[in-house]
Amino acid sequence: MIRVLVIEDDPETLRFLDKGLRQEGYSVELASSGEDGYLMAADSEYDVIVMDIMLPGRDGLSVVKQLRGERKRTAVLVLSAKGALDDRIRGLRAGGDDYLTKPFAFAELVARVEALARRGSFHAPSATMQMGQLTLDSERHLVQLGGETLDLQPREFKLLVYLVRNRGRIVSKTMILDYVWGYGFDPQTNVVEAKVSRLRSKLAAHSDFDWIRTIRGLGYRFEGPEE
Amino acid sequence: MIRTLTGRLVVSYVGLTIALNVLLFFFLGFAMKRSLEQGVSPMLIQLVEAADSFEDAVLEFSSEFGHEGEHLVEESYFRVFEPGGSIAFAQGPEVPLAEGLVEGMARGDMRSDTVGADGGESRLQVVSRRLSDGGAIQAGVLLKHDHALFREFRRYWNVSLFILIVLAAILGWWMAQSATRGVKEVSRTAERILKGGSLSARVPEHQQVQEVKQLTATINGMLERIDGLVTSLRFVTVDAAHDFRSPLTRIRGAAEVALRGDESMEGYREMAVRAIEETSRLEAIVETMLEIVRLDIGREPPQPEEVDLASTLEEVVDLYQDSAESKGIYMTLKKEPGSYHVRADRTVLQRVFANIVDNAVKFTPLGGSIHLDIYRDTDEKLMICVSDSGPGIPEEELSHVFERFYRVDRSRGTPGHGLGLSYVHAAMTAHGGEIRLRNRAEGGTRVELWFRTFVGGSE
Repeated sequence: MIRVLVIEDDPETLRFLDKGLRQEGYSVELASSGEDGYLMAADSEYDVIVMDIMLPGRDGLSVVKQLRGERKRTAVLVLSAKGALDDRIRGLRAGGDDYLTKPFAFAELVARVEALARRGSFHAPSATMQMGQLTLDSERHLVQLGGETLDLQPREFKLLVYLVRNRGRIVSKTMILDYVWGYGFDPQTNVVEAKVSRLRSKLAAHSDFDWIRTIRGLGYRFEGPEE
Repeated sequence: MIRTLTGRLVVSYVGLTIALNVLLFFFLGFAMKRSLEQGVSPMLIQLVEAADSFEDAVLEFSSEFGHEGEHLVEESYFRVFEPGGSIAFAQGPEVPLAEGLVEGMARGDMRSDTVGADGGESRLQVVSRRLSDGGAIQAGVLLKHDHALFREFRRYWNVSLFILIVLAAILGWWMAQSATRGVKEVSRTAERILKGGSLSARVPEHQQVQEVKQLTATINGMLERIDGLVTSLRFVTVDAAHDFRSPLTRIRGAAEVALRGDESMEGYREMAVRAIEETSRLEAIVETMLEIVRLDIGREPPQPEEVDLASTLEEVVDLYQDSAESKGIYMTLKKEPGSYHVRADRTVLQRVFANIVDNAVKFTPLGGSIHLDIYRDTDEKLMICVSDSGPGIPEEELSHVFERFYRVDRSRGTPGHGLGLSYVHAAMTAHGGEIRLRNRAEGGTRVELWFRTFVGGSE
């Protein structure tokens, strides 16, 4: 089970982070100040620390710094308000950690926590993936469904790979835009919907199953028939 | 008084005029004296050379002064000495110093001197000549009249000096006035703003003094910038707060309605979905707004790098291709061969293009067309042109489209928060580029994005 420590001073945010992460099946512990958070992180082992950068008394970056100084390698996901995004926070990515700007989609937070937790085990995503009748070879850019090869455009292929890799999990529009097009903003129109529905119809032409479920308000979830 | 520029200029000009005049006065006086003396000498020489012996001289002088008037006699000095040294003829005042001059002169010698006379009151210019018979002859002029002439000269001089001083004072005052007129206008404008006037006040541009012209331009530029930033801030606080109301009302409404009735699970789910959708709208507004302000304040690409406009545009077209196709819109991208590299912030450009293409797709009716062209206009300028076959923009609204939260068809319910073109405008300005928007004669809108080219290596 993934163990997560959440350090956040806003009680409401803390509450929904706690609830949401538990729903994902993580073991969650909470701290509401930098100092408490530091003591807990120094005492026990966590897979990921989710931490607000603006904390009363002691800010998040100094906690990360001290933990690193004591050779604690726990992965840290820093949460920051958009305006406060400075180079120090950007520098976190270079240190193997990550940041997420507020407000964020919960799906994105889960994806980042997941990625940081997996970091230790280091298994490169395999080139071929199989789900029921669907076979995906990301090296040869080949997709087969029910024994037939699908004709996908490069972006459609990339989208499918992303969905399959995150199968069973909700991915938001923003995450898709970021991964498939490298766009860090939401154009507010239906570009993602259009791309997803095209991919969906290509999949539907070769199978009766609806592989891509739309979760209103949140995004999409890729599901195999066996789930 | 002396602390004002006017006072200082007037005093300096008057002082300079007086100093120059005093200097000139002494120089001219000296020059006049010299030329007077030099003018007299030839006449005297002519007189003393007229006689060969002292008897001739006595004869000549006596006959001469028999006819001449008193006037000349009074100012003249004539002496004829016998070979023995005694005076044979004398005319004019007693000047012992002058009489002694002939002693020791060899025969045929001639000399010219100026000596004091009348006990220092005046001076005598005298030419002496030793005659061949041993006698001597002297002719001189008393330079008494110097004083009268000088007095006259000084009187005219004083009058002209007075006029010059007045002129200098007027000139100094005028110079100070014309130099400070602009400065005064600047401080008047500043005062007007201080006393609660609008920040849109500007100093009149028509200044004559170059430095003041520069000052005016700088001040006006600064006011322009402050005005822009304040408008920007006002937009964040007032306009944005205003625009937040609708989504907030909808979120609150949905939540209240869900709580009041006996909602099914499905009803609550619906409410949550609505809340998330409205929140994303709010997030987008806040995020775009902050981006616009950041671009306005920075006025330069936030993270500049070398970007290929053509490939960035191709990506955006690819992004929107499916949306366009789902509306049956025919979208083309035509690129003239060449390099389209500029120095820019990649993310900002992606957003700019996405906003423009987004608008085009949104407003073009089913089965319409969108044409994108990218070409090099001149060596320094690149242009991206997006033409659609939509309804165009009403002429009276064209000037408003870059205003924040301005939406052309509020009634039609097309999605969007009215910040897209404001963002594009701010981004293009920050990149030193330009956006132009107009209606095409054949219908639809034409958006032109002008960029300055990237000059490799030089920054």
